[in-house]
Amino acid sequence: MNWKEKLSEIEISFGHHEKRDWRSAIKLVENLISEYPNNIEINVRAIYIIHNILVEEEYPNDEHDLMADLLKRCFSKSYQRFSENPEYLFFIGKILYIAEWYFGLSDDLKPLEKKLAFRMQKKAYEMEFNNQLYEWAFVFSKDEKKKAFALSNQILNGESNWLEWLKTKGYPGTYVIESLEYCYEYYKKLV
Amino acid sequence: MKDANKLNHLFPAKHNLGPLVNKMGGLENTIRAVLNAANNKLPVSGVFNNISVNVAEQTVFIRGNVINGVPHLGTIFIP
Repeated sequence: MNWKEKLSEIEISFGHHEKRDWRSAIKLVENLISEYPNNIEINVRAIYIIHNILVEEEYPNDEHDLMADLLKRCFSKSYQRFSENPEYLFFIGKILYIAEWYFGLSDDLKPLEKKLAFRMQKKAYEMEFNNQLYEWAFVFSKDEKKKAFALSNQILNGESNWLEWLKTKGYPGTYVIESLEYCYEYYKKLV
Repeated sequence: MKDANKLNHLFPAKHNLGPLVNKMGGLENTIRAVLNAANNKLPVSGVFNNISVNVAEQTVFIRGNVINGVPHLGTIFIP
């Protein structure tokens, strides 16, 4: 089984608030990061996996601090390494909004422009102006509903390849697709 | 709370919050009601996990963190 399949095996059980032993999953993620430190997809998926377990899944209380510490370390190391990579900035910018304390941030009450999450999304878009996906993430965060809706419609129902690209990105890709669908369905009623 | 990313994260279909959101009249109203119901159930500071609150006769579970006295939600769900 290759690393993509191994990560998919973990990700497939997400979303059910299931009580299970996540230690082997965490160990696998740790091993993959140390084996492939320069692989962006592994680093992004590792961060999404640990974050999702911490925020959404069931685990014994005594495992919380270890996972929280690991997530902070993963983010800190990978951000140093990939802070100029738009794909990393796009995916990690998106997830930083959710439970920023797990990333060692305290941006929640700051104006949008000052939040690291938004600055990452903005930078990804500035680096690739023609990327509809990065533009969508940027305007969605800015709460530009009309534009966000139009872009989500183009990405989900148009002829670009972004949807297919997201489908190859494991849980982070699925997470973004669900967010695009939310944007499309919810903003359709508003704009 | 106005952040679209956070609202989107808190209310996916799998969190079973749809009927409650309809009853409360929107996402932000639901969050307000949940936080009101959680009053006195949250720690003074730090992470909280699976606190159950009653909102409109529904048991809702919440997780998050209290930072500088302000509760921040990470997830809300009805199992």
